[in-house]
Amino acid sequence: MTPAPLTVSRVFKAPIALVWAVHTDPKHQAKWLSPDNPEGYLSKLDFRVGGTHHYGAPGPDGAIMYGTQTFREIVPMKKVVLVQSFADKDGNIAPHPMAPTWPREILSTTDYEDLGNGTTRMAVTWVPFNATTVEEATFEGARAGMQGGWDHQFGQIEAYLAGL
Amino acid sequence: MTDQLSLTLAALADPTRRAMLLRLAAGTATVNELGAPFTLSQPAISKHIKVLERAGLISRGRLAQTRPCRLEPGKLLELNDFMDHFRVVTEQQMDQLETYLSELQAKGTEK
Repeated sequence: MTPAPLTVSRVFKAPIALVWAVHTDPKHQAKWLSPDNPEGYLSKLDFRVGGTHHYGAPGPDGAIMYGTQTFREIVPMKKVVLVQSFADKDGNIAPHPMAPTWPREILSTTDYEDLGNGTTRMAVTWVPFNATTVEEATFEGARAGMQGGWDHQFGQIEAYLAGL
Repeated sequence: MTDQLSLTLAALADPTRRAMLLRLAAGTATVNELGAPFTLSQPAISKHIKVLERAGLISRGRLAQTRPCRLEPGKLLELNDFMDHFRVVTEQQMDQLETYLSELQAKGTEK
């Protein structure tokens, strides 16, 4: 069973060159990924195919969440394909802090599309990479919880829980 | 390594089991009632119910022979926390990026 992808997309009122720069440059990343504490954002980037990005962003509780990315395809202002993992402070791949059977590696594809009039669509698509059956099931459960209309139906269950 | 959250997520990976949970959000149901909407064999229905029960998402009553199924809130609440966390790392990052882009552009026009 190949799990269905998880996709998040957004249309930004900004030209594609700016969206690309802001999304891929660590100096910008610090400002939007860690808006309350940009100085706390740590980044070691080697932005080329085969290169890696080891980063750490402070969470709401102050604890730093580390991640690592390995770039597989870079087409400026068009597409970035990378393998994404949670990591420790030294850049070693680590399990998801809340769900240990979350896939260790996620293949992430970001597509950038110029919609004209200074607007840009960015779509991020995730699928498990080199995943075990258990990891795929964990991913599929989370995907189903967020997409496919089930997130709305989930409201029914929340309403039920609220009434207990 | 099967922690509780992973069991819960794996149980949700199947559309039949998700439909069963939604049915139970409307109230308790017997195994027959839960299986009625599906063209599945009785053993297949039982297996789905066992997975939900093992994941702690439902419990079985001791009442009579029907042993009605009911939704168990605890695991669903834990799952909700995970989903919230998930939305934070996806949608909220998009929000932050959007805010930053509009701030940058506002600064650009001030100059």
